[in-house]
Amino acid sequence: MMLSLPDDEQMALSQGVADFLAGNFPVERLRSTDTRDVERWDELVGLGVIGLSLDEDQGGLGLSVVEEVLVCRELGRTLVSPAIIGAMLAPHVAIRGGQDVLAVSLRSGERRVGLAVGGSDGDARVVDAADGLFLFLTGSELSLVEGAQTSLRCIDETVCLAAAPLPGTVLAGIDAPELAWAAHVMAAAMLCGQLEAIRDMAADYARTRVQFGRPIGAFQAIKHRCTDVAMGADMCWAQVWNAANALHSGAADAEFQAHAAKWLAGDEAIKAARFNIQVHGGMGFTQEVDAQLLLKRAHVLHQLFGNPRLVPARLVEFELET
Amino acid sequence: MGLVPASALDDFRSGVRSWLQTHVPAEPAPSITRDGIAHRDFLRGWQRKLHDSGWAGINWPSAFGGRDLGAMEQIVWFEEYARAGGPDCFGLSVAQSHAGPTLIQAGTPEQRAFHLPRILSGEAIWCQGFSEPGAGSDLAGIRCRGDVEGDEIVVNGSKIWTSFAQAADYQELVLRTEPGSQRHKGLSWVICDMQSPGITVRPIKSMDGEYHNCEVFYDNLRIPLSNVVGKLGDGWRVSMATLAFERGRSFIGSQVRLLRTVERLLDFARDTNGSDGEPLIADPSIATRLGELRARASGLKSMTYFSVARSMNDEVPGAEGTYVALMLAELKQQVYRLWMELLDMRGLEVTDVPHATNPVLQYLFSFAATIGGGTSEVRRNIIAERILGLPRHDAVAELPA
Repeated sequence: MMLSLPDDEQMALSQGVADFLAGNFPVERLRSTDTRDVERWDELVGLGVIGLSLDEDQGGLGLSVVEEVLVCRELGRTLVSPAIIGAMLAPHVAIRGGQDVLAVSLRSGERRVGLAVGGSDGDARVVDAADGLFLFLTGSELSLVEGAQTSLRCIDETVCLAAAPLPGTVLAGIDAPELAWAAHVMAAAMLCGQLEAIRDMAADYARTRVQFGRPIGAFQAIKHRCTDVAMGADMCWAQVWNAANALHSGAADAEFQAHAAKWLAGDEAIKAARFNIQVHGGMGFTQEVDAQLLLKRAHVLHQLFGNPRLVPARLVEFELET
Repeated sequence: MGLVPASALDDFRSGVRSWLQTHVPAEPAPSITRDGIAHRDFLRGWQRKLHDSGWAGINWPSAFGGRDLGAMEQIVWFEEYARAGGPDCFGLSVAQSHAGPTLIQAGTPEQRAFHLPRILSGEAIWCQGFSEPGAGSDLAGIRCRGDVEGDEIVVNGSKIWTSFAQAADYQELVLRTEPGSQRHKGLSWVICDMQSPGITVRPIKSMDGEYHNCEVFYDNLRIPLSNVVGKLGDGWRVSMATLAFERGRSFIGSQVRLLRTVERLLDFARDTNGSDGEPLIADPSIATRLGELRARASGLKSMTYFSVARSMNDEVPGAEGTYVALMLAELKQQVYRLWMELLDMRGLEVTDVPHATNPVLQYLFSFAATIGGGTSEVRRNIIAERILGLPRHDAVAELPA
């Protein structure tokens, strides 16, 4: 059993990243700029985000997945590209796969890496691979792959989606469950940040939008669903925190906790994002407010690392001590 | 606060485990019948056993006879209690988790000296006396009168949904002692001896066949003024203060029990064949629903522990503490709803399996979860207004000048 909260240093790290992102990666950037997040990884290298969990002699900060989920929650709050998970994990894969030179260029942000998972047609689906290189994750295996890609039009226009035939050229490949499950909780943490952003956006609007002579948040049909969003956000963060600590301490149930965290966060984020569109009424249906973007990004994150439709049935296969 | 190593608690855990293994009653709690006597005797016996072995009042201050265990030890206790199949006794928890803590916080030395030992030893069973026919979710609508006459309060009116009043010895009675007062004002929290003349108890049959609740009528019942807890007219504050004492930890036991129930449901689906001759769990649609429940139960557990960690750290439970009760109640209903579905035609039969482990009776009982102690709708209002800062339902927007 684990009972812990982020300590002061961890909170300071999280707050520092939050402040930086609020100033430098505000959500509005996604409407007005053509510069993609992946072209600005050097800024996140400077912040220590990329390399956070690398040892200090590898040029990292020597922290763990516990700090990574705190950082990822903030990255998710301002909708930083999901490819950041690839950028954070790729140096580990290169080092363990014996590609030290590649590792250095990945850690410095010089080589940029997309994030890829298997598509149902056998090709990989790649998110934001700027240089033709991507981190491919399947089960507990991670590989760094180079290969041709065909651009697809993504429902979320703020990320680049592409199809890449497999196997491609594998530069490094490892079987590393703890890294794979870390990717799951990092994506779940990004969904948590997004859930909190949705919670705040919906509640802000419900407090201020007046119809029928009162703020719409006075109506129970609205306020009860706002409550459900807030409850989902808190539950998912608690689960992500628990899963990250389980992974870090090598707990027997870490894999279950990570998968449960990822599925719960995706499911809750999509539910919340749907409601947020509804609460915004006509404007929620437009691209003039961000409600639609939050929904689309939640779908992208939910599809990462394994078909979410099939995950719950897998969760019953774990042996758990209760 | 960092991680607390589990090993530090290992000795405590094994002590708890072995005690529970030998002492948890082999037979589950008897049904709560119209007179409630068999159930009451069971409760008394079990609490007496806990008391004699030093397990009464685990979260009570030692100055009042409790064990004063830390939050971690409390969690271990609740985990082991659920693992050992310890009886789930609401009829004890009113006294242990509510009346006792209220007396500790607001009682007079005489009230504490008389009642606390009787509560700990199981000699005294308590019931609540808050809700009324016209004051259910809206508790501040209390109308039951207590007129002060000399050194007595004369009580007239009625209470409803008082759990286990048919066999209780004392009641936490909240009365309107200032005639004409409104809402939260003018209420008093009074100890009511259930054997006093002027009380009539009408047990109410619940949809699961048990007599969980009663309606209680008061006809010129006379209670000494010395039974007022806190100040006369200060009953609302006295009622609310107890919640701070609990800090949400009383939910740990229910939460761990629900987690065990999900695992039992999984076992049922593994061990039971469907009409196709295959185990139910081999059906992907069933496995999916079970997996979703398992994930949600895990999320609820994480939220519960997060909340406890926060209350250990700064003594102020976070928002997630408020969510736990709401989610627990709704998840419990989902679990038993699925169990009922998986039983197919057998779900129509009431077997001799005792209430506590009978999935059909628990399915019926689970409807109480989102009603008792405040409906889910009222809980949602409270969360929306207090945590999210949403306007009250009667808020009116200011019109532009």
